[in-house]
Amino acid sequence: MAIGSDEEKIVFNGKLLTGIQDLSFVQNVSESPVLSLGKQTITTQITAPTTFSVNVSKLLLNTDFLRTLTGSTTISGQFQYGENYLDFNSGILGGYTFNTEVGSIPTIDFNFEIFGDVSGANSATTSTAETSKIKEISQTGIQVTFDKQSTNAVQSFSFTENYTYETIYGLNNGGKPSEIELIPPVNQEVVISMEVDDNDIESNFSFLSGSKDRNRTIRTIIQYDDGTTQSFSLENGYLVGQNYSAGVGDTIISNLTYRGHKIV
Amino acid sequence: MAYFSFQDVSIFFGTGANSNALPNGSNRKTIYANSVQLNYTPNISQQRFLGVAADKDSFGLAGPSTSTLSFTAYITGSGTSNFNPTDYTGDIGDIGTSFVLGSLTNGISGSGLYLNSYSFTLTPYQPVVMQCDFSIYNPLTTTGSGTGITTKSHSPGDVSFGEFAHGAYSSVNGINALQTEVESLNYQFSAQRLPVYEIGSYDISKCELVTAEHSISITSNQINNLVPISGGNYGNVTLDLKDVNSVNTTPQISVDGRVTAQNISAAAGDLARGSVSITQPLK
Repeated sequence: MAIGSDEEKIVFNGKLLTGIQDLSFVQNVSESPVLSLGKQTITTQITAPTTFSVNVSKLLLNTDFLRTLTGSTTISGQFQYGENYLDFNSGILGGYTFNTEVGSIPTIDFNFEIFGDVSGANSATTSTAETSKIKEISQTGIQVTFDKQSTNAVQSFSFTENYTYETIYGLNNGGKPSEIELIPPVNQEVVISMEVDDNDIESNFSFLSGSKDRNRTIRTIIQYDDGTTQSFSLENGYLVGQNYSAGVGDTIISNLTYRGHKIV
Repeated sequence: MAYFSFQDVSIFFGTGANSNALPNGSNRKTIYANSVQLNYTPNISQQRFLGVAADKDSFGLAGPSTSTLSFTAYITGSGTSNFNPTDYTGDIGDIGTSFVLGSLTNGISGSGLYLNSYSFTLTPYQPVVMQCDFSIYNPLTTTGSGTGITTKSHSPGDVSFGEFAHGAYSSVNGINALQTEVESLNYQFSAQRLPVYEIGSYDISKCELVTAEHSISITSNQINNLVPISGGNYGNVTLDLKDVNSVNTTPQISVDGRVTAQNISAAAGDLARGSVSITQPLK
């Protein structure tokens, strides 16, 4: 007998998440055969820590709780499915991607890496529901600011932030990491897809110039009907990729990729 | 003759540091090696004479052959049939050990082996691989033609998951050497030996262990108390190489010496680390 999506919930740090679209849990075991002279086959050995990741895809709430977990190395949670409960702890937020495009509700996808225990539990953990909701957004409520003419109609905007952690595994520690350190900078990337109306591809050799703009304002602001806002913006944005595609019976589409790096 | 695949080339050792008896089916130490190197250089040189043109027959024996056997192998338990380098750190009076490479009955064999060094690195999530280096002081052959690997090997016995020394289960303790988080450590034993040959014999007469020492270097999150220039900083580390069942796969290793070096390294985009080295003279 299967378990329906209405019986599936996930809790992070005591908060029952809302707006969930997809969840996935991925475990990878690093176990390899040991080759030895004089033998065709031999046993296997563990060669690296087992990794466990939790991926959460959500509709963007007006204030998303998961974004507040940036930098924490003690994230814990529970996946509840039917009468089953899966606990995990000592997690970190590895990164997230926000995406908005014409004709759809903005989404945000989170990736968590779990360095602690992953085990079954007998009962549901105590939690309070995430309070923020999906609020109404008018047709002009999502605005993108970038370094091209406004006549180039933006079709989609995605913003990714990734965090690099160094995990120290000490001897005498039972296989668990003894320390997890966030290594700066935070790497950011924005990909903008637009209908080309008035835009030139930037010259190959212009990037060699010291006067090239490496402090571009690249952001999106979401303004809800009640006046609250939230934004996603690059720090010191610079262009790293641009492509144009044109085909018979279609318009010219350009994808622009910018990067930024944030100090933490 | 075709190449042999690695699965057909075994290494077996004699059972102690004081026997020339070659390994056989029931009396041998098994090595679970992942690489081996046999270097053999007969010590011959040209003898030139006034009034005689040199030719191929000018070569003559000029001293003992120079041969070494080096291998890397997994540390796989403390059982009596398993190879353990500490069995071969023998002092004067021992006549060395023996080995067979390839096959017990049709391989390359030798005797008069003495351990010069062994080392290993211990990290939290890796099985322990040791590097062993032996000198071979007896000639591999004294006849007109040498021996060789002519048939496939006798396979070592099976070794189970639980018999491997592994960083996930091993432990380290000590004084003045350890910080809160030991990321890795490197252990090294080295010995200098002086072989003695008698007139009238190809084989070694005896071998003097001149000096021996072992040392340990520990990489961790910091260093404490910089070592004084007087060399008076005491350091003691005990190391237990354990398998999944918490059984020691070698006798406990204890380095009880002086802190000889301390280092700190840092690189952009990484964490700063410290290392401490302790050395103990053994002879």
